[in-house]
Amino acid sequence: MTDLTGLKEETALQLDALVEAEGIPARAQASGQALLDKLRAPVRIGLFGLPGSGKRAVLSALSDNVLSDNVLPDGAFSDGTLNDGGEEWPTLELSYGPLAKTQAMLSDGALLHSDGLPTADLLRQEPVFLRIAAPVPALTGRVLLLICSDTQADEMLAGLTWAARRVDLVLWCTRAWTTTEQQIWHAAPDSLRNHAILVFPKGSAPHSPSAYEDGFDTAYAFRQADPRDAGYAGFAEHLSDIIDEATTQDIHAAQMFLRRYANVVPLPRSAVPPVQAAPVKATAVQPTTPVYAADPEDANTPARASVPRPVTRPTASQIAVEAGLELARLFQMLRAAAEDMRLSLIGIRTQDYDTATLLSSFEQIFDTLADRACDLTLLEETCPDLVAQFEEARDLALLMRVEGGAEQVRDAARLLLQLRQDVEHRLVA
Amino acid sequence: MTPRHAPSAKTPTPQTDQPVLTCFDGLTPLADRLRHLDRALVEVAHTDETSIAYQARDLRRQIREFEPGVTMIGQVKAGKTTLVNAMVGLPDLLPADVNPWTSVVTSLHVQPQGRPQDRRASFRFFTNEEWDHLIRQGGRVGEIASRAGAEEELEKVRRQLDEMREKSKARLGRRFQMLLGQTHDYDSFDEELIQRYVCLGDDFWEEAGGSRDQGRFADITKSADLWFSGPDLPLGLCIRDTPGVNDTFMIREQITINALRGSRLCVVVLSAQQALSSVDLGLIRLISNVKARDIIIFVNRIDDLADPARAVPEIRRSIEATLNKFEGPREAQILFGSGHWAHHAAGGTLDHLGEESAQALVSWAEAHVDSSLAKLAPPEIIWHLSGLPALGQAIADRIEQGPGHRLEQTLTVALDNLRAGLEAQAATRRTDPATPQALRMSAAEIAQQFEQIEDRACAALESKLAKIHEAFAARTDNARRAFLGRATGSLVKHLEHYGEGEVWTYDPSGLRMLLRTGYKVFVQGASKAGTEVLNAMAQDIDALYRHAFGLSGETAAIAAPPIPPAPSPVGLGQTIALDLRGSWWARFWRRQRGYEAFSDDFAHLIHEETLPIVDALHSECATPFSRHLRAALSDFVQNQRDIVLGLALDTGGGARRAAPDPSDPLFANLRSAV
Repeated sequence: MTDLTGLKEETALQLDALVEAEGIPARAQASGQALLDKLRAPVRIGLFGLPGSGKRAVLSALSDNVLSDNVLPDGAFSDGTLNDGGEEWPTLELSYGPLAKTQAMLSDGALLHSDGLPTADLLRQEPVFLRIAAPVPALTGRVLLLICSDTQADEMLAGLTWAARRVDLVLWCTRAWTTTEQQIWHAAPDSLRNHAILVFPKGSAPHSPSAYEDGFDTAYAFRQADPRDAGYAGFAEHLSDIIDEATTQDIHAAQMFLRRYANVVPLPRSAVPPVQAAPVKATAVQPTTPVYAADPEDANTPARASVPRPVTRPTASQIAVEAGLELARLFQMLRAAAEDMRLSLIGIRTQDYDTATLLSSFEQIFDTLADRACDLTLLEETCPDLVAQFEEARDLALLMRVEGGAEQVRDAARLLLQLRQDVEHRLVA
Repeated sequence: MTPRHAPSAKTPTPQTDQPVLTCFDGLTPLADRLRHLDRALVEVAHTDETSIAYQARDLRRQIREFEPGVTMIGQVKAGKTTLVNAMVGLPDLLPADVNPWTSVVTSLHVQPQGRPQDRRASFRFFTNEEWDHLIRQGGRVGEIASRAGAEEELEKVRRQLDEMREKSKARLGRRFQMLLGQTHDYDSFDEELIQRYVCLGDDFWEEAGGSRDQGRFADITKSADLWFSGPDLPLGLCIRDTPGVNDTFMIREQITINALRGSRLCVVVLSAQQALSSVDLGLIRLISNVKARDIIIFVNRIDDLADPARAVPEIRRSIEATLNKFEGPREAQILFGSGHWAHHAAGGTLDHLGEESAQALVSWAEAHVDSSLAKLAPPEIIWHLSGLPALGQAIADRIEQGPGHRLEQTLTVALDNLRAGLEAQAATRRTDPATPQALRMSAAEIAQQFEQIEDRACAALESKLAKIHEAFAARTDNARRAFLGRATGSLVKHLEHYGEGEVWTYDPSGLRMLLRTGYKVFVQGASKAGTEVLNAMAQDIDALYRHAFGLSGETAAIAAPPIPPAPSPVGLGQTIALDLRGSWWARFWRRQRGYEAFSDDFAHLIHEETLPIVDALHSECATPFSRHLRAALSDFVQNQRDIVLGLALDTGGGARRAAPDPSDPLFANLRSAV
């Protein structure tokens, strides 16, 4: 098992050296800095969901119950169990800090700073946003953002739009993944779907196929037991895998960048480590202080009353980096689909393959990939020919399905492999 | 040239001593709502503002002329004509006894107003070009054969057609060529007149020993339109009876496709004894390009089944399986019934049902007559069992949800906009009728503003549509290229594995699916673009209204009209060479020699066969839809401009006039200026 943290740190050091090196073009320097910032920033995890969907329980589970629900007005959560009603936490950001500190923003924009975690007195002043640091190892390298909203679709959408630039991974908590929630989710900014998990904290059955169609990477249901013990372990592992996978993608992007400029600027260290082909798991994570990116919008009232601001046009280098990341995610999606197909065939003899079903599955995979490729605006802008390839593959997959037959199944698999190679070449280039 | 002839024989009339058996009562709620809207428009039309009154009258005209259409398509001998006769309440209207009677599209325009004797008919002949295409070039089969270099096949087709032409000449004499392109109109019609125009058959009049006049013009008749009153009908309705889809020269297929273009709602009539199978691929192809909710499958002639109650569930399963297998419209509603029973129930001739048919009726009745049905008179019970009321209700539902809903939406928005104009007029007069409130803008300034609004909207629409068309063109090209690649690849593999001896076939339905999906994406994009531009334009006009007339925020806002419906891509259902899997294709295949010839010839054939389909999708569907969107924008802005300028002239002219004179030079100049 590779040490992902070590690899990340090593890559970051190399990037650091590269952006500081003389002779590197200014645009490349900006791109390198953007990649470096991304590598060093904590993973930002957003918790979304309608009231009563179990966001608080997931927050508690991910933060070792550091926030006590007892401090909420009316003391509605004395037993620590999931509670459907009562008061909610306001929108809050929870991250690691050597000492517990709280910064509260009131509805008039005033900021209150205090040592320690939020108290009942503080919450009685009805803050609209809390930024909390807590000395909890589980928060290392992560920032949890809990978005509070009522059941109004407009308000929830405003919260999602506000949070879109502030989260890397979405955990959408739900009880039954209703049509209303689906509508809100589909209207949300596309970037939220880059990494998203549908979570059923109340132990309902997960809706995997639907979750996949709705743009989630996966769906996860807690066991009926309290998520803070038995159910949590599995979820934490699941989440770690996804974060590792995302981190691996970021490292890939950075390594490809390093490889690209290796000839322009000699790298300060030994050879660039090879790009990892598969996600690796992190081990022995050491607590580090989270890096807060300076964000002028941080002072604004978030979620509940925020109106999305016009986004300034990114620079060409930012576009290139972002497009590369989009492509990397598409690449992961393609690989995951191929892996799913492979797993579904284990234990079945070749002559027993249901070719019609397999061809339908391939058609669905190519359809989803083409749809996703068309939705990625930066990719469309930077690699229109690659997007066209995805579309062509979708058309071919349909024709193969209509043709039917074992040979067509092999053709479809070859097509998937070819597409993977094309994307890989593009990523390296 | 439109000669008028008096009908020579008796006029078909419905039986009058029977209970009234209707099947379109379901249209009553829609008819009532339209009447309500009409009354509101009458009130608005009383205004002294000419533009508003004119537009209200025009909207009333739309209500009067509203005639939703239903196209009946299906297999030959499925009993479509008997069914159609029963649906319109005239059991003997169209001849249904001799096969094949139905050779042309016969449109029955049933009108709720008018007296029973108010009838007229119009018969249109093929044009010279159409006839030439059919006879000299052999229709679609000729096209395919010619493209594929199948000279012998083409020659055979030509010989058959020459014989047909000789017969037509013999029947019609020297006048034959002169008749082409003509329309024959009549003040009335009867059975004989209809037979003269719509009964086709190679030798039927010799065999039948009938009058030479019968079927005289049938070879060259392209369409027949009959108008008559249906007093029990809540709304006007047009039922199109089409020929069966399987024919040698594929001309009926083209006629059916054209009929489907005219009205989307489609009743597929099948015969219970040959409900739907792989031999009906042509039919499935045709209906696959119509939205499933616009399709009703009526399995007719259940009276031919020994035990319909037992057989019907099995037939239903079989139809569903076939639709599923061949990617047809799986969600289409399936109904069962018997036009024959309906015919006798409506005609009061239940004694003539026939023994087997009566036994089937008993079996069906035992399974379906409940206590409420049992209270009715026998003809009414049988009428219900015939499935006609259920079919009528299904048609009514779809009309209400489709064209009816669209018309209501259009009228409601337009009515509200007219009322907004009246409010603006009232606001300018509110202070003192003798001295109307001054406008904040001059009429010329308003005209200029309208010009800018229209320019802006047109530019936005054109820009969006250009991108959408470009993406659509790229998608269809790619689809066709992918298809060509797969098809030729399949051919090469076939030759490698099986050689030239085995006949190769390749299912072209994949290409149709790709094109259909591409068109669906185009329609979604163009509809969204049209809606956005129209809404933005409505907001601009609303702002102009408020500013020009100093209206408060409480007054009704101007709303955009609904966008027009997109044409269905029915042309995709047209048969192409690759669809022909029968003996024709096998003969054609065996005539080829050498691998290279195979590859080249077939690649060429596929290329040539698929190009017109893609071109037609652009020229007959996508381009017209864009044109309709432009027209919707243009009509909307023109109507609003007329109203606002009319009001401005009324107010800005100092003393209020009773009604602005459209011939007023200022008004006319402003109209010309914009």
